[in-house]
Amino acid sequence: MARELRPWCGGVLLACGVIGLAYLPPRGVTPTRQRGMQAPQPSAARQRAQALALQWRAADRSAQLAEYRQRLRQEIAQHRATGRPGPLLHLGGLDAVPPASRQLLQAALDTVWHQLGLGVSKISVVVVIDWKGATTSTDGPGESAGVVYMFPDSTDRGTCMTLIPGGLWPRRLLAPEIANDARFDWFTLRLEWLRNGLGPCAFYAAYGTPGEPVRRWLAARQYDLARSPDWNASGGDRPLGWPLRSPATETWHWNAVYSLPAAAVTCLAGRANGCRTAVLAGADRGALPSLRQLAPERRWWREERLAQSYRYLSDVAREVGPDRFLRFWNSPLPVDTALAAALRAPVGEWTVRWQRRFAPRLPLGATPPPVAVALGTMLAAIAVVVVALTASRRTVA
Amino acid sequence: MHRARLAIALALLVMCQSPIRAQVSPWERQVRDQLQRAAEALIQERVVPASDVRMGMLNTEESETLTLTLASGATYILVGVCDADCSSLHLVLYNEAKNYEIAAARSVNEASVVRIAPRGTQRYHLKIVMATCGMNPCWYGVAVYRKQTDAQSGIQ
Repeated sequence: MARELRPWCGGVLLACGVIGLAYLPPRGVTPTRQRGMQAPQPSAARQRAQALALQWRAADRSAQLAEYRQRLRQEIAQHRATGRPGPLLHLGGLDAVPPASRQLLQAALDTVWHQLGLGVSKISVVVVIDWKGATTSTDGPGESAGVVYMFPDSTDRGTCMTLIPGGLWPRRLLAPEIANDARFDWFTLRLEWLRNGLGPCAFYAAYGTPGEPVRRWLAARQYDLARSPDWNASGGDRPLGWPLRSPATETWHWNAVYSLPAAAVTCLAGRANGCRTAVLAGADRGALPSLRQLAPERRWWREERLAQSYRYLSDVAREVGPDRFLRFWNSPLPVDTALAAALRAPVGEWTVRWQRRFAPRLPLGATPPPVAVALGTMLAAIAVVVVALTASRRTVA
Repeated sequence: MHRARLAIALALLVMCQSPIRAQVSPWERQVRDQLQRAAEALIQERVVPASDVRMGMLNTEESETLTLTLASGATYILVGVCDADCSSLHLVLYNEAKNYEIAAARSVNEASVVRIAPRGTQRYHLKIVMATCGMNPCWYGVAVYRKQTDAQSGIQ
């Protein structure tokens, strides 16, 4: 090697070392780009401990729900026999519920039921709210496990149960004094909270237990497509927002976008194949047993397989109407065939159109800004001209 | 007069099977009404109920099995009905070992009826299959009748 090159090679190696030290994460930590105020990723051991704790909390709440079903058997039978429309409400937990909050809750639940167009349902829905008063510690085992569902099974084909944790937020939502607080639309927030609490149980109440293919498909996906029953919603679609996009600045949050599965990203980019794969994921798992209980991850956006998946089946039901949706829901055909028949369109193409209603097309591939393109082209032209001039002078000699 | 009394007795039996007698769900009521109509239609055959009415819910393609002891020398009529969302309920009667189909009714849009006159007193298995249910689960009801002059039978 020529002697004059050695400082250059040494300098390059040193620069590589400095960059490596600055950017590479410590051992056991998933590499991630650190930006601004972002919290550092926990270590692998801590992540494992958190996942185990989450599973334990979910199992604890599922057991709690099974106990409630056993305990409320008589009440459920009576509710079914009276033919009263609406879910059976049970307020559990250790603390007494203020009478005013109880009335607000019952009224809100009846309103949600009415908004969904439900009357007396074949499958009774039982809503258990695990009430916690202001004096109760909120860091109990079930506090951060979120809503838990128990679907009808062979021991009770006619009951779907949901256990909603009642911590600080529900206490606030049901406090009588918020009637005078004009900062937020508390009434709508309360209805939304209960509607999402009903989740897949509202689908069971409206359309019965799904047929075997749909049941297995939804179970394989943890019912992510049926989390928000809102098929009678009026008004326009709410635009795609956090964590994928900022509607105010109309920019994409690329970290969140690329944390989605590849099919979901290509679906956002308007590719029908990607949408089809994202929607039908889980439909081919023939051997998976049907799910009896569901304790979804509270931070649902972390495991989304399709952007805004929680409202997918609700929007399908709204678009195709109850009769066609019931045929799909109850169909013995494979999910892709049944869904395409209900939509009267290929699943991928319909899903692309559905996403365009609330999100613009995601630009994939190189998309340099026009100013940069103009500047780059100008610099390239100058370089070509300079080289051409230099070359012409040389050829003279 | 005799037929009228029999009809009233059968109707009362069908209606009084539930623990909650006064009120039942609309789907359960449909099944009870159908069983009552079937009982009325069987009056001419001078039948008496041979067991309690069995009612329950099943999803499409699910089944449930009852064990019956049917006495020799009698003729039995097994009637299966389901709610308005269901269009086909099958009744299949097997021998005790469940390996031989004795009789079956696979009706569509009407009650399934199985008639059997056993040669010897023995146990049978009655498989109730929810063949088609438009909105799961569907309510079903099964009643077992014996011709009045025949011997005693039991259900387990």
